[in-house]
Amino acid sequence: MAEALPHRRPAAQRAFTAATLAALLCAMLALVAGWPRGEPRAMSAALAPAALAADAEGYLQALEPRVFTFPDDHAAHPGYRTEWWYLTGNLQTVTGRRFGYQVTLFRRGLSPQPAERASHWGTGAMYFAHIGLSDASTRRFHSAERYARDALALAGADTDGFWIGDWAVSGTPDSGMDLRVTADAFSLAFRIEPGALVLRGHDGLSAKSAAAGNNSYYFAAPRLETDGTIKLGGQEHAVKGQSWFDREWSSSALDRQQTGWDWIAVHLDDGRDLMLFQLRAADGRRDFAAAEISDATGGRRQLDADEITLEPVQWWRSDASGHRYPIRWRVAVAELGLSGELRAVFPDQEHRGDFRYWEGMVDLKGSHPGHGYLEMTGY
Amino acid sequence: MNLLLRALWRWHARHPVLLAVTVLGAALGAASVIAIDLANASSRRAFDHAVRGLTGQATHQIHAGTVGIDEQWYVDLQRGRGGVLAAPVVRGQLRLHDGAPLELFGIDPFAEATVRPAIDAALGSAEHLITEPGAVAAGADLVARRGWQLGDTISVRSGQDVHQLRLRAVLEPRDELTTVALRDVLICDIATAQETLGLLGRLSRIDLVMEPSARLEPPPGAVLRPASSQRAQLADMTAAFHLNLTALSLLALGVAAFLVYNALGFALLQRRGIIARLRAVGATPGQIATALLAETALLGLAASAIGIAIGWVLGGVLLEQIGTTISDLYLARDVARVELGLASVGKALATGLGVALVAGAVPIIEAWRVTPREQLQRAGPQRNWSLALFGVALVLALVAVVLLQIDERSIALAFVATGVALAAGACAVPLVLRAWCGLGAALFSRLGRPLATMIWRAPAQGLRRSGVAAAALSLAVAAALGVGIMVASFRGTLIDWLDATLGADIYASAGAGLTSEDRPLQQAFIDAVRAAPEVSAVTLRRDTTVHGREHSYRAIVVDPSRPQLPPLRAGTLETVWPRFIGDDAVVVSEQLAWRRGLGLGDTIALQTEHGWHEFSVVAITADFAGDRGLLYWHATTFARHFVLPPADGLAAELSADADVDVVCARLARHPAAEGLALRSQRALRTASLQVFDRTFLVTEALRVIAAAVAVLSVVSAIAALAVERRSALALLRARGATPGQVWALGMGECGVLGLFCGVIAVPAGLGLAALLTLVINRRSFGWTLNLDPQPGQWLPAVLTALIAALIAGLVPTWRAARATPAEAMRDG
Repeated sequence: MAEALPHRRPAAQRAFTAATLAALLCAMLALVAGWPRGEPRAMSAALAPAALAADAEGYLQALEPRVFTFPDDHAAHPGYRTEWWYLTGNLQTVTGRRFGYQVTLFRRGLSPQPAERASHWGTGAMYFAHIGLSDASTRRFHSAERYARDALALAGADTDGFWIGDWAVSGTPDSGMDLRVTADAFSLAFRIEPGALVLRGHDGLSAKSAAAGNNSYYFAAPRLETDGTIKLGGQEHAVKGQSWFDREWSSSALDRQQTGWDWIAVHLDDGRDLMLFQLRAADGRRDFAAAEISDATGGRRQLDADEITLEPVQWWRSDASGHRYPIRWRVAVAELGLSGELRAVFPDQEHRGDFRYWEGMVDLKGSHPGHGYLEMTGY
Repeated sequence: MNLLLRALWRWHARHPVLLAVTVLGAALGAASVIAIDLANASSRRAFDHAVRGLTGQATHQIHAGTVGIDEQWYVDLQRGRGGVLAAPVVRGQLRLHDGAPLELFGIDPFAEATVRPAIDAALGSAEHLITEPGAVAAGADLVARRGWQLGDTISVRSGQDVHQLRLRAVLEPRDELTTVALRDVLICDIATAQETLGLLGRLSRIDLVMEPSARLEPPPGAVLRPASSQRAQLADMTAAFHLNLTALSLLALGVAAFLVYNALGFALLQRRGIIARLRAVGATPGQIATALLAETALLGLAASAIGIAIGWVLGGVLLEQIGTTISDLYLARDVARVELGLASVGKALATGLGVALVAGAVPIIEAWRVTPREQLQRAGPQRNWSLALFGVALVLALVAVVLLQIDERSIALAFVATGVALAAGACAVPLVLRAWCGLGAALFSRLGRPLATMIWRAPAQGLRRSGVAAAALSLAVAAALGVGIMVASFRGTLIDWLDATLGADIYASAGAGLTSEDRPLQQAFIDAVRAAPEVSAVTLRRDTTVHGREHSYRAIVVDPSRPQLPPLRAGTLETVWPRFIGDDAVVVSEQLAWRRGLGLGDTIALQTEHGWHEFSVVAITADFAGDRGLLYWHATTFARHFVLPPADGLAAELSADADVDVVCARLARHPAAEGLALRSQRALRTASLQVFDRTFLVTEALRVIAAAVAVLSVVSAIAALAVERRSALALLRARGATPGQVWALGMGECGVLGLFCGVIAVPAGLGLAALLTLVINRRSFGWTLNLDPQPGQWLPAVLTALIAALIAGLVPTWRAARATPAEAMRDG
C-alpha cells in the first residue's frame, strides 16, 4: 500500500489519508516508510508508530482466527480501525492491447466509539478510494482518488457491494460483480464473474510481523474472469482478462522497524495463483515475509517464507517525485521450484495523488510465467 | 528661488493665525475625504473578503429555497453523477454571550480540498471536528481577540437556543483573504452545524466547481448561481451607501477648497507690494509663479499630512459605524480595523495637494499676468464681475436642472448636479451680497445713520474679497444645514412609517429582529401568546429568501386575518387586499420596485417548489427595514408555491383594557420565551430609531466636520477681510473717528457679512436638502422621503454664521481700533 508521505496538497484529506494509510499499512502488509522525510507537519506526531499503537485502543483486534460468514463478511466491519476492498487486474483487447487496472476502497475508523448524533452527517469513519489504469501500449499510467465520510451512504460497503460517490462495485466476488468508475481521464465498466474465495494465513488470520498480535483478517478471490469496456482518450476498448480481489481488516499497529513493503499477486499461466509479500526494515532488508499458492477450486498452500527470494535487479527513478523503485525483481520460491524475473510492463506506474506509491501491472518470466500486479511502498 | 520663497513667506509668518486656520481647514477637508475613503475601502474589503474567502474556488453555488436544501439531494448528486466537485455548506448566525455576531460555517472536510483549498489547508487534520459533537475551529485572529484557549467551551446562542461549542483547532491561514474571511467565523463539521443551528437534514448551500458549459438542475425551490453573484449582490447593495458617504465627504472637501482659495487669494492680494518689488528687482513672472506654486504645494502637503493623521483616527471611528450599519442592514459581521496602506497615503496626499493647487491656481495665474505697475497699485482693478458671475450661476443652475433630467436613475449624475448647483449658488453670492449691502446702506442712509450706512456699504466695496469669503461661508453653512435637514426629514419619514406599520402591541422575534438572520420561534411560545386572555389577535411573520432568475429576494410572509399591509405607495388597501390573498400576488417594497424597475401589474419570475412561477405586483409599499427591498406575501398565497418556513416573528394585539407592559413582562417569563426579543410596540419603535441614528452617525460626523470647516472658513475669510480693512479703518481714525467708532464699524462689517451668509445659507441649505432627500436618496435607495424644512434648524445656522463672523473679526478690529493712525496706515 502507499506510504504515508503525501506531497501534493496539504489537505485535511491528506492528513486523514496519511493517518489511514499508515494505520492500514501497519496493520497489515505494510508500513510507514520514510516518514518523517517530508516537511514537518502536525500530523507527523499522529503518524508515529507509537501513536498508531495507542490509536488502535478501543477498536476490535484481529487476534484469534474467526469463522467467516458470507455474505456478511463482504460488508464493512465497523469495530475495526482499517479495512479495504482491493481489485486489480490484467486485461487485453482482441487485438492484444494490454491494460492493467486497480480499484481500491479503504475504510478508516476515526473514533472507536462514535458519538450518538442527531445529524445524519455524524460519523466515526471515513472512506477513500484510489483507482488506476495502466495502458501498456502507450506506457501511460492514469490515476484518481476520492474521499467521503461514512455517513448518508456517501460511501460504504455492504453485502451488495462497495462504493464511494458514483464509483461503485455492485455484487460480491462469490456471486459476481459489476464495476463502474469514471474519472476525468478514463472510465471502466466491467462485468466480473464469480470465483472461489480463499482464506489467507491461518484460516483467514494473517500475520504481519514476527511478533504476536500484528494480524489482519484476510481473504481473497484471486482469479475472477473479467470483461467489459475501458474508455480512454475518447476511445472505447472492449477488454477481457482476470481480476484479483483482496479483502482485509484489522486494527493493529505495525512493528517499529518496518518501513515499507512489496506485495505481488500473479496469475500463473498454469492456472494457479501466487501471492507473496515482504515487509522491509529501514536498512532495506526483509523483516517479514509470507507467500501462498492457490488454485481455481480454492485449494491453497502456505509456502515457507524462508525459502522465498525477492531481489531487486533494476531500478527506475521517477522524474516526477524523485523516488526510486525496483522495477525488475529476481524471484525464486524453492517449494514450487519457481525461478524467474518479475518485470514491470512499463516503469512509470507511480500513484502521485495525495499518497505516492507504485502499483502496476507486471509480467513473470521464467519457470512459471504469468501476469500480475506489484505494489511497492516506502521507497 | 529660495530667496523668493523666503521673501514671500515672511507675510505668512506675520499672520500665523490666518495660516493656521487655512491649513487646519484644508486639513479637515482632506481628513473627511481620507476618513471616508479609508472606512469605505476597509469595510468593503472586509465584507467582500468575508464572502470571497468562504467561497473559495467555487464557480457556482446552489442557494437553498425557503427551508434549505434536502441533504439527500446532495447525496444523490454525489452517487448519481460523477465529475461534479461539490461541497455542502450549512451556515447560520450565532451570537456570543455579549451579543457579538459570529457565523457558524459548517463544512464537510472531505469535500473541501477542491472547493476551498485555503480553508482546507488551514484545517489540516480535522479529525476532532468530525468525531466530536460541538467541536469548532476558529482563526488565530478571532481566538486572540476573544482570549480563547484551545479546548475552551464557547457558549453561543442560536436563536432561542444556547449551545456549548468546544474550540478544538486554531487556524492560521496562509493568505490574507482567508484570514479576513475567518475574522468572525467558527468553522465546524457539517453535522455540528446542523445540530447547533437546528437544520437537521438540511443544507444552506452547495458550492460547486463546474465547467461553464456544465448543466445541473437544482433541487426544488433552490437556484444555481455563479459564485460571483453573491459578492456582486453585496457590492451592489452597499454601493449606494458608500457613494453617499463619499459624496458627503467631498462636500466637506469642496468647502475646504473654497477656504484655501480665499486664504491664498487674500495672501496674494496682501503681497502685491512685495511681489511687485520682486518683479522690479528682476524676478520673472515665471519665477514668482513657481515660487507661489511651491508655497501652495507646501501648504497642501502640510494640510495633507495633518489630514492623514486626523483622517486615520476619524476613519477608525467611522469604520466602526459603517461596519455596524452594514451589519445592521446587509451582512452581520464584526468590523475590521482600518488599514492605512501606501495607496491611501498617496491618495490622501494627492487630494490635499490637488485641492490646494487647484484652489491656489486662480490667484497665482492672476499674479502672473499682472504687471509690476499694476501690482503696485493699491487696489486691484474694480470690474463689475459680480453680474457676470451671476450669469454663470444661472447657466450652472440650468446645467444642474438638465443633469437631473438626463437619467432619472443615475446616482452619479445626481451628485454631479448637486455639485453644480452648489457652484451655481456660490457664483450667485457676490451679486446678491451687493444687493444686500446696497439695500442695507440705502435703508440706513434714509434713516440718517451714517455709521450704519458705512457698515453696510463696506462689504460691497471690497466685493472681490468679501464675495469669495461670503460664498465660502454660505456654502459651508448651507452644507451643514442641508445635510441636517435631510437627516431630520428621513427620521421623520421613518417615524411616520413605524407608527403606521407597528399596529400591534407586542412584538417577538428570536433574532436581532432587524436583519433576516432570525431563527424560528418555539411553537410552545406561540401557543402561550395565543392562549393569553388579553391577546385579541396574533400575526406570525416569516422572514426568508426566494430566488429569481438573476437575483435573490428577501421575502416577508405574514398571515393577518384582517386587511392589513404596510403603508402603500401605489394601490389602496381595499383594492389590494383581495388580490393579496389571491393566487399569484406579491407586494413589493418601493426600494425593490425602484431597483428592479417594477411597477403595478409587472411580474416577477421566482423559483418555487413547483418550478418557475410568475407573480404579479399588486401593490408597492413603503419600507425602511433595510435597503435591499422586500417581497411581501400572505402566508396562504406563499404556502401554495413554497414550503412555508417556521415563524420567526410574532405580533400580538391586545384588548383595549390590557396593560401592554404587564402582559409583555408576563409573556417574557414563559419558559419558551427564553432568548426571545420580546418588545412592546413602543420599545420596538425606540430600538428601530436607535438603529437609524446609528446609521446616520457617520453622516452626522461628516456634518460636524463640514460645520467645523465652515467655522474655520468664516474665521479665515473674515480675518482676511478685517486685515484688509485695517488701513481703511486707520484712515478713519486719522480723520478723527474714535476707537469706539472704529470698533463698531469693524465689528459691524463682520456682523453684516456673517448675517448675510447665515441668511443666504438657509435657502441654499433647503435646496441642498431637497436634492439630497428627494433626488439622491430616491436614486440611491429607492425610498420616498418627505422633505421636512425643519425651520428649527434655520436660526442656529444663521447664528452660527453670525457668531463665527463676529468672533473672527474680534482680534483684527481690536488691533485696528487700538493702533495709532500712523501705525495703522503704515501697516496697510
